[in-house]
Amino acid sequence: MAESLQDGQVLKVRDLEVKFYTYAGVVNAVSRISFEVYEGEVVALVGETGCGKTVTTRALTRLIEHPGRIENGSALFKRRNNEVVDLLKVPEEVIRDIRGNEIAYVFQDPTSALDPLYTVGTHIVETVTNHRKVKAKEVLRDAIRLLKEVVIPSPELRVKNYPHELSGGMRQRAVIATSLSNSPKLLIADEPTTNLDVTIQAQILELLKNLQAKYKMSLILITHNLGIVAEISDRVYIMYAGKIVEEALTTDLYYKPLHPYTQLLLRSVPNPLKRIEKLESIPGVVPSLINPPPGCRFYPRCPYATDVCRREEPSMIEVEPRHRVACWLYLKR
Amino acid sequence: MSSPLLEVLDLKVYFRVRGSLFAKVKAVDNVSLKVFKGETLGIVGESGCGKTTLGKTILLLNKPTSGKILFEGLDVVKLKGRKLLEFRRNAQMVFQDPHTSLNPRMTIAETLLEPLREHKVQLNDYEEYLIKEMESVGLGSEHLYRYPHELSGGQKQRVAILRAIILRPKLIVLDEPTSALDVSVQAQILELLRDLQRNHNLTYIFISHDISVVKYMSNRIAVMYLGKIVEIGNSQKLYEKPLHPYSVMLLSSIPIPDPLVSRSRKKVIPQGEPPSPINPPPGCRFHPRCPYTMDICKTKEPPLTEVEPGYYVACWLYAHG
Repeated sequence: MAESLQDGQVLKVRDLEVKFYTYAGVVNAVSRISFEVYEGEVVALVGETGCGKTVTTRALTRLIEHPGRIENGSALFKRRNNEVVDLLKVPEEVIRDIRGNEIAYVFQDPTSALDPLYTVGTHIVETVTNHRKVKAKEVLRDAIRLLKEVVIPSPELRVKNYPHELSGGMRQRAVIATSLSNSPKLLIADEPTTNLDVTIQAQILELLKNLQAKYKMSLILITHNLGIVAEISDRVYIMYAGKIVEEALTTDLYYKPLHPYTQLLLRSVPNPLKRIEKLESIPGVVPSLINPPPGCRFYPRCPYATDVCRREEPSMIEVEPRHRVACWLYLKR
Repeated sequence: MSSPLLEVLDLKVYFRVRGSLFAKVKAVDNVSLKVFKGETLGIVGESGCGKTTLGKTILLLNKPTSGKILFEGLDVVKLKGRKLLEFRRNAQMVFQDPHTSLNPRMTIAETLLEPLREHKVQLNDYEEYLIKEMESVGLGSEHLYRYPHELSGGQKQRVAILRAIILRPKLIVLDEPTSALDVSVQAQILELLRDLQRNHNLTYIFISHDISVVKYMSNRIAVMYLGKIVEIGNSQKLYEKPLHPYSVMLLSSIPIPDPLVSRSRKKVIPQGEPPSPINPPPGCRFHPRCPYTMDICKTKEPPLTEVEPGYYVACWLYAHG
C-alpha cells in the first residue's frame, strides 16, 4: 500500500467517491473527497442538505445500501491494536467488527435509532455482546454506569425503560450511551441535536464535548449549524455539492474564510450578538448531483465566477498552513 | 406605534386529554399581549410551550377556551358571517413545512387563485395578476402551472408566503417559516419577508424556536414557557440583558457562530427538561429548573410586571409581592 497514516492520525480518507444509481440517473453524491482525522480531535463536516456529508461518513463503514455504490478511494483507519486497515477493502467480517465497536455512530433521529421493542439496557447489552464475549448480566451493570455518564437521572430504573418512555433528549442520551459502550476510537455524530430543543441541544453538546475528552476519542460531527461548529469543533471541512471546498482550523475558518461559498454561508446566519442590517443570501439553489456543472460546482452561484471556473475544476491547495481551499481565486495559473 | 392592531386578553386554550375525564393540556394559559401596526412580534420557546397554539388561536384556527382576541378593536371570537370573512381576509398564516401546507394536487395557479375566489376578488386578467405577484416574491412565471412537487423547498415556501399575502392582509402569523429550509435558502426567505413587510405595511407575528432568527426579524419578543409568557419587550434589550432566569438560560443555549466569543462567554447550561403541560408545577412553572427559586415561587404564580415602560417580566425576582 502506497499510502500510510501519519503520526497521530486515526483516519485518512483519499479520493472517496460514492454514486447512487437511480432511475433518474447517476447521482454523484460524493465526488473524490479527501480528509483526515487526528487522535482526540473534533472535526466538523459542514454543508447543506444533500451535499453528501452523511453519505461520506456512512461510506466509512460501508453502510451504503443499494442503489448506492462506493466507486473509488481508500479510508485508512488505525485500529485499537494499532493495525492500519483500509476500511473500504477489508473483508465484511472485519468491517462488522469495527462498526459499532471501534467506529460508532450517533444518528440524527434518536427515535428511529432505537428499536421500540427493546429496552435501553438491551440496546447496550446487544452492542457489547456482539463484539466481545461477556455475560449479559455484567454488561447490564456497565450499562447503568454508562447511563449515569450521559446524565440520565435514576439510571437503575431507566435501563429497563423502552424508548417511548423517554423524552427526545433522554433518547438521544441513551443512543450516545449505546455508542460509547465499546469505548470507540472514533465517534461519528450525524446532526445529533437537530431534532432537539435549544436548551436540550446545549446539554447534549456539552455532554459530547466532555465524553470526547474523557474517552480520548476522535469525533466527527456532521452539522449544518455554524453555531454548533464554532462551539465545539477544532477543525472544519466545508462541503458543497459532494465536494470538500475548504478545510481549516475552526478559528481560521470563521475569521479568514477563503472560499466564496464559506464566506457567503457565514454571512447568511444571523449572529444574535450582533446588530445586522441585512443578511447575505446566496442566490440560486444547490445544483443537482445527477449532472453537476463541470468546473467548479459553485460557479453558478458564485459572485466571483470567471471563465476558468466554468471550464475547469479547481484543485485543493494550501493557502496558509493547515488552511486549504479549492477555488480558482487562490490558484495561480 | 399608537393603537394596537391586535390585542389578546387573558387567552386560555385548553385541550382535553383523550381517555381522561378531567385532565387538560393547558397549551395557552392566561396570555395577554399587544401587537402594534407594522411591527414584528417574535414568539420564542421550546417545543410544547404553546407558541404554535397561540398563533393558530389568534387566527381562530383553534377555539379559545376563554379570553378575548381584539383585532382593530373588535372581539373576533364573537364575529360571524361577513365580519368574520373580513377578519380572515385580514389575518393570514404561513406554516412551517411548505411540503405539507401546499395541496399536492393543485397547481401553483390554483393554489393562489383559491383565496381570491373565496373572497370574491374581481380582476380583469387573473393570469397576468398572478404572474406579477409571483415576480414580487422572486418566482418566475414558468412555475405558474406546475405542481408543488416540481418546486424546491425554498420555492414552495415562496408560494405559501404569496398565498398568504395575495389578499393584502394586515396581519400574518409566520409559524417557523424557515425551519424546514437550508441556511442559504433561509436567508433568502427572511429577506423576502422583510421586503414584503416594508412594501405592504404588514404586521408579523413570527414564531420560531430559532432565537437567532427571531432576534433578526423582530422588534419585540415574547418568551413563552409552558403556556405562559414569562418575558416580553424590546428585542435588543431582551438579548442584551434578559431578566427572567428562563430567558437567560434559553439565550445562553444558542450556539454563537463565532468561535472566540462562543468559547469565552459565560454559559448557563440548562438543567432538566420542561415538565408536562398537563400537570404544570404549582407557583411559577419554571421553579423546578430555576437556579434562583425562593419559597414564594413554589406556591404563588408571579404576575407579568412592567419593569420599565413596555417591558414586562413574570418573575418574583422583579415583582413586588
